[in-house]
Amino acid sequence: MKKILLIFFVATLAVSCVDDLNTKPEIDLTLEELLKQDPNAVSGILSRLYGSFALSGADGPGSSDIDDDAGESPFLRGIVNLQDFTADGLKNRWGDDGLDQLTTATKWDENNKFFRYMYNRIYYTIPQANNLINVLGGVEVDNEAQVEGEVRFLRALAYYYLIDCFGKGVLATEENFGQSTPLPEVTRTELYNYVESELLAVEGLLPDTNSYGRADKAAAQFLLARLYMNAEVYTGSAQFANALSYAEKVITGSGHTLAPDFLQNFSGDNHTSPEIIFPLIADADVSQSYGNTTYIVNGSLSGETMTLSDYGATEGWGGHRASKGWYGLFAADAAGLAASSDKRAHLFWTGGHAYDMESYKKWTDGFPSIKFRNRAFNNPSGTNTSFSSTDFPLFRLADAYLMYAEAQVRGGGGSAATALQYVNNVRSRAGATAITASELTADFILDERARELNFEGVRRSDLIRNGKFTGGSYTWPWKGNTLNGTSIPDHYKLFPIPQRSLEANPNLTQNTGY
Amino acid sequence: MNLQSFFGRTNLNFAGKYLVTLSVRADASSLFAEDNRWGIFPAAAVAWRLSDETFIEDLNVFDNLKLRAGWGETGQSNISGAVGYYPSYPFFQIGSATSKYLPGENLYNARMFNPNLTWEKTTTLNAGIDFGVFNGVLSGSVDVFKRDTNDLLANAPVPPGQAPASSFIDNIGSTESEGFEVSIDVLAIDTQNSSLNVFANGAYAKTTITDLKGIKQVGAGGGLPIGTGTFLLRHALNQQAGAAWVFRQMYNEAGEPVYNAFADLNQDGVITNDDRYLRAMRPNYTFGFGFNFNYKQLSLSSSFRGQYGGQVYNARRLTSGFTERPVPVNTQALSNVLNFYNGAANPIIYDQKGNVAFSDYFLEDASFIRCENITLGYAFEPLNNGTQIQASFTVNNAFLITKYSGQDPENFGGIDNNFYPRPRVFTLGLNFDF
Repeated sequence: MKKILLIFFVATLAVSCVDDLNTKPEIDLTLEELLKQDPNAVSGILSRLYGSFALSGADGPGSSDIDDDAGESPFLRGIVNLQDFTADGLKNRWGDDGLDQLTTATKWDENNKFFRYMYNRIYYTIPQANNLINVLGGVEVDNEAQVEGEVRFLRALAYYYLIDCFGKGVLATEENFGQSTPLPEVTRTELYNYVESELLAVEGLLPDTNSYGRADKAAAQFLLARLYMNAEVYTGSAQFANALSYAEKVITGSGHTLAPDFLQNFSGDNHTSPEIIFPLIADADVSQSYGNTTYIVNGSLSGETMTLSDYGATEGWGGHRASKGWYGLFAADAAGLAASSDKRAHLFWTGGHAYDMESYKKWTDGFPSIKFRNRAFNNPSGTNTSFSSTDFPLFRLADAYLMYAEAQVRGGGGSAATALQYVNNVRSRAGATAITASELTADFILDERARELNFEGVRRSDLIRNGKFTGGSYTWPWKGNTLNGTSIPDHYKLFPIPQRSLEANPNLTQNTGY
Repeated sequence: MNLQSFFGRTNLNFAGKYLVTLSVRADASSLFAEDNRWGIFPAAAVAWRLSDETFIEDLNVFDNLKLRAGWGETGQSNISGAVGYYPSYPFFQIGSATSKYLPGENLYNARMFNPNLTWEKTTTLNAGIDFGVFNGVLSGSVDVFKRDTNDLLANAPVPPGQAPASSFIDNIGSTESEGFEVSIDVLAIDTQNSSLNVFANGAYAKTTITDLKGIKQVGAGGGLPIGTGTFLLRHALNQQAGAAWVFRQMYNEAGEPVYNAFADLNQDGVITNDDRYLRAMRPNYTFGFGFNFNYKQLSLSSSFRGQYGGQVYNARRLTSGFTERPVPVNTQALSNVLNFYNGAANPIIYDQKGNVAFSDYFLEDASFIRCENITLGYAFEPLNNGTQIQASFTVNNAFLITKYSGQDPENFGGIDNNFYPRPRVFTLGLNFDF
């Protein structure tokens, strides 16, 4: 009997010990625990998804969601690197391997880590969205349809950048979430069709207005307009009528207006600007990242030639300068910029800097852009910060005005008079002279977009759409790694698929030319 | 984390000469999901003490002679450093105070998990012989082994878009190792006044990746010192784990490397990743040897350690000649202080972009012999009150013999980027024993 008791005792001990194997984290929570602790948890998960376009990770600016460098790999930093430094208006001087190839538009290959950063970030955001859609299927949430609309909008936004930058990938959705066998490759047209249908669907789910930083109807309509604007590049079939009609929806239906002063859109308090349709939020205290506007502001400053506190900053990284591909559209020298009636011409730091960029690796060659700053517009006496509190205007109304005009000029229908009016609205807000109907050409609009939108992550797409990115018909300083610019190959309209992604999914193939 | 093991072992001993050990252990780890949690790992070993057999005893040669053979399985679960303590279940992380996003909202982050994780299993087959002859003058052992590891736990890239991470820990494949170890100990002199004991050991081990679940190769770290995010090493099929993936450097007639010129291995007219090859970084041969010598009150001992083969990436060759760096922002900074023309830096590698860092020019033979220590001692005659005094002089890391051109080929990770040098330590000692 004693023996039996002993065995029983040992067995009980063993069973209770074995139960200990079901350990629980002390901080992390299961979905059920999270919802019990915070009934509003879904908006916290949603916040994380929005944040995927600005933050590097959930544990401060040194943390990274993907296994790439937390400082270098965030989404917005990638967009500036890939869209602006590869184009005519902005150059970086750091000479980092990978970044240098972007800034000179030469020697692009699948090993360049900056392509990997963007591809990884896009394909981190998409499954996070898919996961959240699945979560929504199992819980009770207020406004579930709207939340689903927001999640699908963010996923479509991530896919949009995949279409624009890489042109191919896999179609990961909530339905194949968790599948471990590699998904098949899909073409640019298939991705385009998917994003179009998703955005058309979420347009009906999203509210007319939403709390700050969250997507509303106008955000989806704006993204549709941008998708249609570039449809010919993406699919071979132009969609300017649709582009015009969606730009018009944004302009007439969203209630947004141009900010009275251009600079309001790029200052520390730009969340008060009536013009911004969809921002990427930054906050010097609670939303820190080396890849939000901090990269733009700090990267464009250097205490050697500028006074950091003029812009509310405490750090100058001495990296980015505009080139005459941008400020040359205003004037032929520093004095001309200062004398211009166009306020946008004043947003370059000229003191101690040369107009021409003889060496892109030399800080004082070229004028830094001072368009973005931490300093608030309305209350400019705030403290100086090392991280930026300026939100990034990913979509803003002036862009919709210029999209309408370009779509009109390119045969998308609409009214020529309205197109002219919109362009002049944008110009007169900045103090530039109005143009006449005969001056309104596709080339003029491309230049106007540079004056208005450079450093806002659209320049490369704009040049490609206008046939001016690759080839030698239009050159800019250091295009093709020569001072005055030279032709670059046609396959540079797409970036290469990163080596790592090709290895991780053997179904993926490289873009032609790489 | 919770780890539990149940263990059973039986030792059987027949006539003191035939030994059998049987064991089985069941290990469970909270790192793995309930269905994959338990690993059962049996082992068996047999030994034959030949020296106790009369026909060996009759030879009057062997002090000790033993044949051994064994087979066993073990499990590994060393992943918490890479992925924390809860890699198998879905959890939400609460964002930190500086990582909020939407105003007024907490931030909840769905953590990556892999519900299929399980034990990495290693099966080892080994055989060996222990021997001692001529009354302790010569003794040693020889072992051979073959080791197969399956369900290897390593960080693997996630197919893009199929999980909220770019890589995660997974049971990604298999490796095969084989090798041998020899150790020998000789008592060369053993007289009243003096003794000399010489010992040596050597090992050969070769490990090859035999399966990667259909993937040709995956990254294996090896960050190069050109910013962040550039890596040298790969786990590739039929190669040693963590092999360097490099281009074959072209050289001019003077034997100097030509900047950014590589062999077109597949002869397609362009230099792409398809022209890279894999070179094993780790040595197959390692060894050690040493001696202890005593003469009256004087003693001298030393030990050496080394490897034959293996590679080290000399990153100083890559970075020291980098003249195409950006012009410093301020005028006080020095840009490039080394004098290229006296050989202090290499002006040929003037830039580090693109393929340049992946040249096999930077890989050098890492063979070396290091004198780990030399100790000279003297024991004085005991004093009248019985106090004993010993004096000693020791040099640790006394010298290094190698053809490597950098500072030290013995470099964990195989990438020499000016790591903190091993000090040479001189110690003078006086030891009083009252």
